[in-house]
Amino acid sequence: MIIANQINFIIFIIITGLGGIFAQIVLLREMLILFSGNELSIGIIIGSWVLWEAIGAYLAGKWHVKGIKAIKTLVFSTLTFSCIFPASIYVTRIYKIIAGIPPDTGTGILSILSASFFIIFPVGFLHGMLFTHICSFYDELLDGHKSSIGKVYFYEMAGTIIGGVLLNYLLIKFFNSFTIAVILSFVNSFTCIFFVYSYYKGKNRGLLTVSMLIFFLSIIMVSMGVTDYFHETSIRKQWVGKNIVYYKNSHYQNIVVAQDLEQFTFFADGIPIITTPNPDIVYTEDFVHITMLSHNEPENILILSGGAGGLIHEILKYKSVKRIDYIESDPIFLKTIQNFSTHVTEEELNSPKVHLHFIDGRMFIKNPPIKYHVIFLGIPLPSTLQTNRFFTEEFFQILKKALNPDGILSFTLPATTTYYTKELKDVHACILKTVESVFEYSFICPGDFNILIFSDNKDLEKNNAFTISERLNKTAVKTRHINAPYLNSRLDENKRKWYLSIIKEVSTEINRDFSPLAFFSTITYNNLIYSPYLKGFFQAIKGIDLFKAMVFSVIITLFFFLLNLKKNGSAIIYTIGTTGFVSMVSEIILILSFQIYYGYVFFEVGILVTVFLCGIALGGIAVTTKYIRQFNELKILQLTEFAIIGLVITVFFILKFLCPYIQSNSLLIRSLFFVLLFILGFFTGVEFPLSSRIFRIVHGKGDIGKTVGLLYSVDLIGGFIGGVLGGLLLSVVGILEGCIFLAFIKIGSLALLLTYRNKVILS
Amino acid sequence: MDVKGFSRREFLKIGFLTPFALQLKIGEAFSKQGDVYKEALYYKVYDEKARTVICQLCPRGCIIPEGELGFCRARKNMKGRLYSLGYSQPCAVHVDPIEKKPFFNVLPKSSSFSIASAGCNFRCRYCQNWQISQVSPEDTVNENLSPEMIVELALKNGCKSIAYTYTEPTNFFEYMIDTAKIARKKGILNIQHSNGYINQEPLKELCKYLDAANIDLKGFNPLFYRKYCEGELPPVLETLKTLKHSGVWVEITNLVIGGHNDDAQMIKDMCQWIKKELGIDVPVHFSRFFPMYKMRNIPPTPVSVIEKAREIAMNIGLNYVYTGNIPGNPGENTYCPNCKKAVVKRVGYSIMDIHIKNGKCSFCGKNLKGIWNI
Repeated sequence: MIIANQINFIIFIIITGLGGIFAQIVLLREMLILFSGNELSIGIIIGSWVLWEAIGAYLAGKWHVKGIKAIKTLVFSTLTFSCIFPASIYVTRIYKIIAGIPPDTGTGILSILSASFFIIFPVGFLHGMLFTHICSFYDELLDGHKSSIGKVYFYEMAGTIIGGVLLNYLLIKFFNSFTIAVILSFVNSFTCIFFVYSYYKGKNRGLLTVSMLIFFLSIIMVSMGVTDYFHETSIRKQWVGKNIVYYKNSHYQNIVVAQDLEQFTFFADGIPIITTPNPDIVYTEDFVHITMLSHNEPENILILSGGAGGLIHEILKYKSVKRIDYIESDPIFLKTIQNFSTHVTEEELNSPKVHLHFIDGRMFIKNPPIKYHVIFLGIPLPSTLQTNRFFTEEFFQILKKALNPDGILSFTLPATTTYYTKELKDVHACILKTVESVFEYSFICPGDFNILIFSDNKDLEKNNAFTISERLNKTAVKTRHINAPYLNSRLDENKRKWYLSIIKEVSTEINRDFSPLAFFSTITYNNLIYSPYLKGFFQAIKGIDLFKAMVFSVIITLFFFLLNLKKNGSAIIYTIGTTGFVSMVSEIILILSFQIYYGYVFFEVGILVTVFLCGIALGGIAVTTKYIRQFNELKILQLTEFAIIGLVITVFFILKFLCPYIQSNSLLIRSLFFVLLFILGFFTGVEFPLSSRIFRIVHGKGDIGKTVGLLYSVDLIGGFIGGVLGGLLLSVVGILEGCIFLAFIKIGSLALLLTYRNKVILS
Repeated sequence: MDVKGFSRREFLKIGFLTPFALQLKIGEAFSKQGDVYKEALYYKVYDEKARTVICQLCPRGCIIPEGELGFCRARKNMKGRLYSLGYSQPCAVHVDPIEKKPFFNVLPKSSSFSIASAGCNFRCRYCQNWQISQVSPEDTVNENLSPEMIVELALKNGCKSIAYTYTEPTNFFEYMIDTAKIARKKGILNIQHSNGYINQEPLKELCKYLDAANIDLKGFNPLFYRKYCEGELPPVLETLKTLKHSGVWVEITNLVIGGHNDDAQMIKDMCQWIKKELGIDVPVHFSRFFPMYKMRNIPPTPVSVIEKAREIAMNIGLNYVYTGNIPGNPGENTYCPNCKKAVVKRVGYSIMDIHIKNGKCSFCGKNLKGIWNI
């Protein structure tokens, strides 16, 4: 009976973990559409979840319940979670209406923060509460056995992993967010029914009734199309004023198609990317023709993203063109364009000259099938660490190798003909300096958007309005707006001199894979639009370097050292908090580094994250084994800290010295990332149950809920800070330097643990 | 031991305080030299004790406490007096084709010396020049160009007009009017691109020197003005009437945003008002919207919507109706209202052909409204 109860409860824990990851991922994806997400908004959204979980876990520790009351609390919380989750999705979609924000207007960081806090509060808080109550109840079930917390951690992680895999690889493909939420309600209520029955033997009709109600309601909602109804209604409210003809979540992004009369607009995560059949003619024609006419005889063309909807259409006008390789990472996006084709996109995507490749652009360019005369880089500004990879010195060097000796690279940057703010200058200066470090010659065309063309062919310098006009006449390409008078104005030498005079005066560094400065500059520039009041904050972040970061960490360590003298156990709190921070930032470093070498492939990144979570789960369960339990907990914790330091330093050495010199296709290096993430997860997983045990010993074998609540919340807060600030910090300090900083933080916490004198623990 | 004639204490006091006194004097001198702020026109003291002023330049009527900026961020109360921060402090100085302003019935193919100081009395969510309109001149890096220097530079660059543009020129009103006076004497046209949100008194003063104005009629709906621009429609309509009656050449720009101000009835009402109050010869530019500033999440306006707007305007009887941001569209040309032939052929800002002689259609001799020569 006891075993059966335990099994029931283990299933309950696993489903709780599954529910948490479902809610996290679904709400994250919904909120990215709401906020047209960049790195900062992703960090804030994940951080909000983590923070509310932390608060929920902590407060649950204060309101600890036992016995029958605990069962009621668990079931009630789970059923409430099941009802609130779909409601949260609806609130996310209509948030702008609730908040009085015009639906077509972007939002600043404070709005994102308040929205994230408001929307995520009920689900995050409940989920955090559940974890603490689960730990308490399981501890009761195991009669206070040492292994209880470790086992809960393991089962919860197992649920997270199962949920993550199920959701990302299966459910998102076939179901909308509401249906997924209601499926979860179905599973939750089903679990609750068995849970209640096994403990109450049917005596608590109230709980049983509610559970069964939700169970049957879930079935009805999915089978009768009620979830689809809510999905469609909420989309209409979210996209008010637009005629939405298509809505789909791919692995990479949310894709929406809006139709207005003859025009289709394709949105990715809420941002309009392509408009057909009439794109921005000035942008399309300028970008294509000024570039193509900068080359004598462009035959082989490569387009890295953004080709459909006009660019390819213009390129195909050139008789010299023999082949166009067009790269997009998301096949569903292009398929959607094909499904809503116009004469422009039909020609583009059906031309025998055009070869479509669904692969990460950086991966394609490492082994291109041919050498190119012209490469169009159609990727927007690097507002994420992921897109920063396409504006680095290393990437431009790879691009150069894919070009013919007379080949040219061309891309655009948002610009202005009136006034450059400091932030916009920083973006331009950084990217310009980076690409000029690789290519010898440049031809820059300033305007409302700048066209930047680079080559190692000296002939590029001969480019001017006259030569471009001449070539235009020679090729007899028909354009709508490009003509000699226009080119005279667009390619005016005075404009170029003006632009270069203001950009060259900016002192900046080269953007590199492991020093993503362009990403930071872009975030700072974008921030001006929606949150100009945070200008000072970004300036302060920019001023941070490795030394300042290390000094800050010394100060915090000293603070906790002094605190520990008064409040026993503060050292443990500091250790857990810094582990949360370090493991989050290390995860970012490893996944980003993987993407730098192997590209952004959804499946692989998904597996990386899953491997990390598996590590956490196994670390948590390893601590509960008899073998580990025989050793002194504090000593194991100290060793684990030491191991994390060693791991972070190992990552540094691998990224600095090994990866650049070994073939990136090497299976060894590829596998190394998985191994490192697993080990990182493992040590992170070890620390939590271990710290909880130590903390309980220090404070007497009192209320486990309080211990778990406190430490879990600290762990999450560390993760929250890492998630929100990690990307920004890495971009100013540098990724390799970031590894050193993380090691330094852990040295501080290890030092604190080594000076920890508690006879009870050490005995 | 005392210095002769001074006690030790006095000597120390003088010796100690003199450098400070000297510094103050020097500082004051620098401060005066560096003090380029021009006292604003059209304001009055609101509360003498509190040193609060009330600005009377635009319908906002900002009551500005000491040390604070007005809504436009370009006028500042310093010690109970209002100063124009943008005077002689332009942040943008360029030579542009006049078609860019856009003026299609004014000196085609000529260059316009275009200036702006930072600031604006609106908060349009789709502003193209947000980087300078939504900040103060204190936040931008500015040139130091007096009105005389502006006119000199315009002449040097062969410009037939000076355009007060990019941001809202009302917020550098004093600079604009002083420059305009000098430009008028030198035979240079004064043109502006404005939101039209200005009080009647300063407007009438400006009209004495202004030759042409392109006014943004953002939408013929007060709610649109409030929601998307934090402005009001009625004062803009009054401005248009005043400009017209003052003999200033007026052109109107309506940036058409799909789903917001593209309603056919709204456009019809707008065109009928223009016909009634301003006449059929006022050029109207219907521009295609592209995602901009805070409104990056909506699609560009369909071309057919712009073409439809033009059709509505022409059906109502307006003679000069243009499409904007659709290069190669026939709506970019100027057509003779009489023989309907294209008298000015344009692609974007580029003039491909002109068939106007002495302000008349070369084909049928009809008088064409506009400023074709200086």
